Order: sequence, then structure tokens, then C-alpha cells
Amino acid sequence: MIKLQNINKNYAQKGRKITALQDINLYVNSGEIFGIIGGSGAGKSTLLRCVNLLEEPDSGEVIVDGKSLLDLSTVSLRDARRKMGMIFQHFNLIATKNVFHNIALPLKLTKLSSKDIQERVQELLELTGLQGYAKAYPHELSGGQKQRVAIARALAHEPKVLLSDEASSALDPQTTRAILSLLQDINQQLGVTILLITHEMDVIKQICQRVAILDQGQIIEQGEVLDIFTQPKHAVTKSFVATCMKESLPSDILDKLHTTQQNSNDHPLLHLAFRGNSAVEPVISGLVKHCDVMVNILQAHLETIHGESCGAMTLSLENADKCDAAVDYLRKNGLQVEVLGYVALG
Amino acid sequence: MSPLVNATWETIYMVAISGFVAALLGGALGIILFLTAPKRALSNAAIHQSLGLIVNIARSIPYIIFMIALIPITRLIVGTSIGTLAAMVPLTLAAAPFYARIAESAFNEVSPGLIEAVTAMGAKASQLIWYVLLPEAMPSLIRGLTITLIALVGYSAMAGIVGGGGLGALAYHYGYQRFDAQIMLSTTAILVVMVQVLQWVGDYLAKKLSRRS
Ligand SMILES: Nc1ncnc2c1ncn2[C@@H]1O[C@H](COP(=O)(O)OP(=O)(O)OP(=O)(O)O)[C@@H](O)[C@H]1O
Ligand SMILES: [Mg+2]
Repeated sequence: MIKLQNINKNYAQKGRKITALQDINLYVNSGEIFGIIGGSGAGKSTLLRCVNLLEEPDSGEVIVDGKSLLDLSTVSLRDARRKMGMIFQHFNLIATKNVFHNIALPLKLTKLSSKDIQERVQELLELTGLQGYAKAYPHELSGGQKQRVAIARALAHEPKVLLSDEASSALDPQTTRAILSLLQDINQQLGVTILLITHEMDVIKQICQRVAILDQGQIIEQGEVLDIFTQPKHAVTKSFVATCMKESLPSDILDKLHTTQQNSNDHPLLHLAFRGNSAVEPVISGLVKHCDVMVNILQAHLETIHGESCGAMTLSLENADKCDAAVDYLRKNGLQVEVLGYVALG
Repeated sequence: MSPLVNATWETIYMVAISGFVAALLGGALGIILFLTAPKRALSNAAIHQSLGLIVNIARSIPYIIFMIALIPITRLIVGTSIGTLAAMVPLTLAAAPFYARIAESAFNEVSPGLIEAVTAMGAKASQLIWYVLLPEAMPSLIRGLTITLIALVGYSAMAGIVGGGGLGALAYHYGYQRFDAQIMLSTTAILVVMVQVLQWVGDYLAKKLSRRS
């Protein structure tokens, strides 16, 4: 549905060249929810804005629904944009117009009769759970309700694609979940393809099927969300996964962590990631028996992503000399293992 | 009709008509200045800069000089350079660039995010103006219009000296040339009331139209 090919974009800031996007290649399937995650300044907004040409890439191709947008005339580009809804972190509603007129705005841009507009707005109000709010002004609504108005407005022309720029970042966790599940409903019931950007792995985990990790203008990793969660390759990806798995170790342990063994009684620290049915408990007790090693579980976290469980665990081994055998054993049993380092515990 | 009432009506008439025309002209100029700025919907450096220069030049000439310098043009437009109608030509032409800058800054206050959202909907420039820029900037536009009208009340009094009508002319002829203190005081009082009323109405409308809390 959306295909970005070799996209490059540079900005000039005070005479300096800033590379916002570098050789971006991305393919979003029809009907999926695709997430792009990255830190501040990674280029997420720039990338999303390239999809509807709010920002024109310096080079590359933008193909949406089979049309190459850079080849379109101004008039055809306006038509193409109508088939793409867009929502934003700060909602961007018209403060001087009520909910009805905010949602009706995109419809008024085309030659629709006021009766048709009335009907369509009514449908959209119901779809987004805003019945009864038609006459309210934006300043009278909560953040979640404002985002619902923005979503209704974005869906006015029954778009095939919805672009979301940090739509839930200004909302509290509970409202975030409600807005995300609304987006999921829209995806499942109306078949709208959603491309969303976020800096929160939780958002990706909740509704995305696939994800791309953007760092300093480049896509460093992309794939199925579950794969990225259980087998992150790049350090940046790992840190995003870790924020979501609530995996930061206590600082006193981190302070004592060395990459090499310094003392004969230092304990190796292992990080395990697992998914699905590689049920982890029997493996751990197997490890104890098979390798004759004492194990200390420091941290464990379990997640369900798209109905499949996955998780991560940090443990320390009592005997450093059994480390290689233990890693072998765990890998053979289908776990992702990484030796974080050595630490003198106790 | 007493000369005082007559002069008051003339002032109201001059200010209202020239204010109205200046708001239209200046508002249009303000929109063009806004939309032709870099990175905007109709960005065009040549138009933006030359219009900006014209507006700045017009604004930097003191009104009394502007009014005299414009006499030939006034004659060309209304056939005479004396009277209320003639006074309205320089009033309008001075107020329009003044209001253009006010309007431009009112449009600059409209949230760029909102403009982006509407562009993403596939809006044309004209639709952007009509559905977003004007309604969102309306409270500021009205506050700016209040300032412009009050300035026009002051300018219109100056017009009286070079043969325009209104309270300025009255104060000049009776108050200054005949030392009629009563007329002098009355015209001043009327001008004060006029400015107060304009300010009240402007504030009220601006407040009513702005839906931010
Ligand atoms: N209009 C612009 N002019 C100059 N530089 C820009 C412009 N827009 C973005 N940039 C630069 O491009 C880079 C990427 O910006 P972008 O807004 O895409 O980041 P982001 O990932 O969306 O960040 P955030 O999470 O903070 O919104 C940044 O270094 C930014 O400073
Ligand atoms: Mg951003």
C-alpha cells in the first residue's frame, strides 16, 4: 500500500547540512499496522511527512496505492491526500469551530451536499464514540476526546491509509490504550492501513504487526514485532525493547558490572529472551541439573504480543567456569542468550 | 443640525468607510504577505519582498506628509482634494498597509500544525484561507481592526486641517482659529467617547469569537 524507495532528505540548518533521512526503504502491506520507532530527532516525523509529501524528499520514490506521488500534478496530489488521513500529537483542531465543523472540514473541501455532510459526520461521531459532543468546542474536551475528533476528521473521506504522528504521546496511559484500541478497531473493521510513528515500544507492542527502527535518519532494523522483541540485533533496538520489558537492572548491580571477569568469584550475568512455547521454567531447572550450576534469577518479565507469549530474564550463575556450558545448553533449548558481563554479588 | 452633531457624523462616516475599505485591502495584503512567505502554500520571494517593501515605505511616512503628498492622487480619484470624501482617500491608503502588517501577524499566530493538517487533507490555498486562516485569526483580526479604527479617528482629525470635514476641522476652525473653548472641549470629549466605544466593542467581539480558554 505504501512503498518508500531510497528516500533521502537533508535540511540546511544555519549553513550546516543535516541528514534527516538516509536511503529509506520501506514497504507497508495493505491492511497492516506498521510502526516506526525512534528517539527524538531520529527523523520519524520527516519520514511520515514524506508519505503525503508535506515534506518533499530530495531523492527517492513515494508510492501510495500504486501511484507515484512525486509524479502527480498539484490537483491529483490533493486527491491522493484525501485518501490519506493524518493525525498528530497535538490534535491540530480548529479552536474556533465546534466538533461538528471540525469533522466536517475535509468534507467541505469537496462538493458534498450539506445533507451528505451531516450524515457522514454523524456516522463518524458514532464510530469514534463522540455522540453528543457535536456542539462542543475543542477547549471543552479532554485530550482523548480531542484525538477522537482528529481521528474522525482524518477518516472523513474513507481513506485507505492513516498516518499517525505520535497520536498518543500527549495522553495518559489509560487514554493511550483507549486511543490505540480505537485505531486497531479502525484497522480491523474498515481495513485502513495504518503507518504510525512513536518513541514508545509499548505502542508498537500493543497494535503493530511490523516495526522499523529508525536511528539518525536510517532504518537500522525492521521486521515482525514479535521477532524484534525476542531477537533484537542492534543496540538501539535492544534498548527500546528493554524499556518495554522494564529490564533495567538495579543501579548497584549495573555499577559493579564488568565486561571481563576480574575475580575468580565474579558471577557471569546472562540475559535470556524467549518466545512462545520454549517454556522457560523447565529449561532453567534443566540447566541446574544438567550443568550442575546454581542459578539466581535477578529479573524476569513476560509479555503477550499478538496472543503469543514472549519474555526476558536476567540471571546470574554461581560458578563462572560453567558459563560456556550453560550458554550452550540454553541456546540448544531455543533461548536467545547474551552474556552481559561479570559482577561480584553479595 | 448643530455643527457639532454634523461634524461627529462626518468623522464616524470617514472612519467607518475608510476603515472598512482598509480592512479589506489590508486584510488581502496580509494574506498575500503570509502565504507568499518562505515554505508557505504560495511561497514566492519576489512578491513577498516587494509587497513588504511597499508596505514598509507607506508605514514609515508620517501621516501629515502622506496626506499632502497624496493630494494629486486624491484629485484623480474623487475629483477634488477638499471635503470628507477627499479625506477618505489618504485615510484608507494609510490604514491599509498598517492593517496589512497586523493581519499578517494575526495569520502568523495560527497554529502551523493546523495549517499542516489542513494541507494534508488536500485543501487548496483558497480553502485554507476561508476555512482555517480567517476563522482562527478572527479574534486577532478584530483586535487589530480596533487599533486601526482608533488610529483612523486620530488621523481623521488631522485631515480637518487640510480641508477635510469632521471633528478635526471643527476643532481647528472654532477652537483654534476662534478660541472657542467650549467647542474645543466638546470635540475632545466626543473623540474620547468614540475611542472608548470602539475599544469596548472590539474587545467584546474578539472575546466572543475566541474559543480558547
Ligand atoms: N524544517 C526543518 N528544517 C531544518 N531541520 C529540520 C526540519 N525538520 C526537521 N529537521 C531536522 O531533521 C531531524 C529529524 O527531525 P524529525 O522532526 O523528523 O525528528 P523526530 O524523529 O520526529 O523527532 P521527535 O521525536 O522529537 O518529534 C532533526 O535533526 C531536525 O532538527
Ligand atoms: Mg516528530
